[in-house]
Amino acid sequence: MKYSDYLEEMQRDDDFVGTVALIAAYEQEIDDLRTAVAGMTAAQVLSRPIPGKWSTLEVIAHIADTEIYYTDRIERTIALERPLLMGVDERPYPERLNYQALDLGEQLDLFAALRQHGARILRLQPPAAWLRVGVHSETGIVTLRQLVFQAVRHVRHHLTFIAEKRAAMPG
Amino acid sequence: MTISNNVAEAQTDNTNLTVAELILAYERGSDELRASVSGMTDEQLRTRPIPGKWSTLEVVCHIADCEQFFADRMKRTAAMDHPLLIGVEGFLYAERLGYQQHNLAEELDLVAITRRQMARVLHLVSADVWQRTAVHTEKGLMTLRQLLLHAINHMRHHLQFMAEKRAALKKGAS
Repeated sequence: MKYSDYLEEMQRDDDFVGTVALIAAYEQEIDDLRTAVAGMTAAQVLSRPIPGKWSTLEVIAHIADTEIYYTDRIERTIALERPLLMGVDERPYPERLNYQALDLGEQLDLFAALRQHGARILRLQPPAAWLRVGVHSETGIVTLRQLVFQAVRHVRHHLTFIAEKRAAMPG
Repeated sequence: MTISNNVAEAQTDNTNLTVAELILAYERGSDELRASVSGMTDEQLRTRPIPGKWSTLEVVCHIADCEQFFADRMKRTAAMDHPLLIGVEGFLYAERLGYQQHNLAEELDLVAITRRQMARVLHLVSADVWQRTAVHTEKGLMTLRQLLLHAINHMRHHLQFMAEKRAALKKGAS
């Protein structure tokens, strides 16, 4: 899949999902992420059981770092008029930010704190705010709803990979 | 003072400080913020004792939100080549994001975990990374070191205002 197609799918709106359900899904992923890595040893978290793919810790660190700028984009879009939302080349992050040397618990706590904070802000928004827009440097105009869908789908996307890694680990 | 002056002041470097000292100052900021609001009641947190200025809770929320884009900027600069960092008008956030309805403990915890996690990353980066640069839309070319200084000084700047509010609350109550 081309990267642009991937981003388009991540940001796709779904009229069947109301605001309350969307925020609930957004918050639920705090527990989903913790559950996905529950019981893993330090060695398992650091291992790369699928050749050429990240370790579980690298995936979690990626999710936490991504969540920082997803939250930032959500807030800019609510607070500012048509803000520019800069895309990120995430590929150099694991090596340059030493993801393998980071602390799993800290990454999970950072993710949880960001989602709790974001969910509180989203619950306070009037209906009109959900149609506010930002300009994403890679995908163009995006609504607040689309940005929240993207955050939710991004974690789901990576939870699948974490499950694959766990299944590929010996024992 | 204009926003650009604020930005310039917040990035003033003290070349006598080592990287380790800067990271320590950054890490300590979370406790300094907690201490600055310690013992305040809900009512005191939401009061605006100085006319035309934010409540203490609004300042803490502003700091918590700024910490997110400070961390994001530092990470982009350490990881990417010469990224563009978009400035932000943080003063518009208070009303639209409903700062007065936020939870103090949640905001303090967010600042603490953001700084703890970012400090771990900063401890790990190699010496050459500190001179990596980014382009900030308001300030121009900035190094990672300047971005860290900005975060440290931004919080200190607001801690002064919070102390002024507490003093004004005390004066009003006496």
